[in-house]
Amino acid sequence: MKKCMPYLMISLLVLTGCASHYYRKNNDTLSIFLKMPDAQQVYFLSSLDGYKPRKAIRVNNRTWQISAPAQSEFKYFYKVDGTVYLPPCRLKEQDDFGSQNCIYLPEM
Amino acid sequence: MKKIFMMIMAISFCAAVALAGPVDRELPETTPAQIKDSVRQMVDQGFNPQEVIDMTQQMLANNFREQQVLQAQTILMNARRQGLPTEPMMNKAYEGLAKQVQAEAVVRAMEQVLSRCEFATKQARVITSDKARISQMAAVLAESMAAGMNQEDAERIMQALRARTRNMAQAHSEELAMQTVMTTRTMLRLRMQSKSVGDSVCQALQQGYSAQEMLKLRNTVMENSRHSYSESFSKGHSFDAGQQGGQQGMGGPGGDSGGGMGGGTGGGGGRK
Repeated sequence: MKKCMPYLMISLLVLTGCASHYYRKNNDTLSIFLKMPDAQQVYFLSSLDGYKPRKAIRVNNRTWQISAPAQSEFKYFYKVDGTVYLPPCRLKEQDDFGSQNCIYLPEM
Repeated sequence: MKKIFMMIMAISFCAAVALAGPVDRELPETTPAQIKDSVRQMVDQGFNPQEVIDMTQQMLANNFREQQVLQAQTILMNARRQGLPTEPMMNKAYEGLAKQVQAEAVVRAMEQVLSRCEFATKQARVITSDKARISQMAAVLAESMAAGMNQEDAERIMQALRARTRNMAQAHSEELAMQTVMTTRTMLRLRMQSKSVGDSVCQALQQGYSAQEMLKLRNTVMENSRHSYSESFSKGHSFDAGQQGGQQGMGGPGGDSGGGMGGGTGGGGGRK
């Protein structure tokens, strides 16, 4: 078990510590970026469209991108390789399922 | 006479086919009759047929039992009967389906959303009688509760609001109420504790904050959280929001803003 610990820690760091999440606003369009180098598939799900999965685009070997309207408030999360993933985010709410959702506010 | 009777029969038949059509056509053949009846009932109540059919289809595809689909539909119909918005409950159902949580948990979550909407609307009705304002205020208050505010603290804030707006003109009191609930919601979404938010907002109201000052308090809290986020994020990560040029980070490591935010808001609560 002790031998596995470093690998476990590295895996955790890869899954959580190395991921980053940020956005850019360009007029009415919001581009959201998620750094998730090891992911094979990333989907973005939000309250904008009843949580329909929208495939994120891989912009380089580390980063995934999705676009959304910059002027609307919405709640969101990701699905990374089939697993629900909540990125680090400033505004959150409880999701009533024992987890949370991120919140985007236009004035953020 | 015979012709008229035939025409009436034909029109009734066409109307029945038109109404029952989409439900029978779009739901799987194996859909229990009771669910189909319930869908028709929802359409009669004014729900968008396609939305109800889509939701029902998704629930059936995700192995919801008959009883659970009916419970979910009843929650939506209850909300509509009370004049409450149904979108938050429908969105919660879709969220649960997307997260692949158990059917039972989805129905429970929809009930919780309905219960928050009922409570928030009741509170908002005490402040104003304007329907549009009630619905706006209730939505924000319900979202504050989704972000972690408990009923006791929400009631405390609404009581302080009533006391503060007692002698105010309707337009001013509505504006102050809106700004107050929006500030409350932001604080909770920044993961401040329900009690701390209740204390800060009540204190601000007791000190005579105006709608403008409440807005200022919210902006201060947001600004403080931005700084506190940047600090904790740069401590924990090799790259952060500040290092990404014009980009803005959306968050730091889990639990990043708890302590820092509490202090920041406490400061904002004092009126000079």
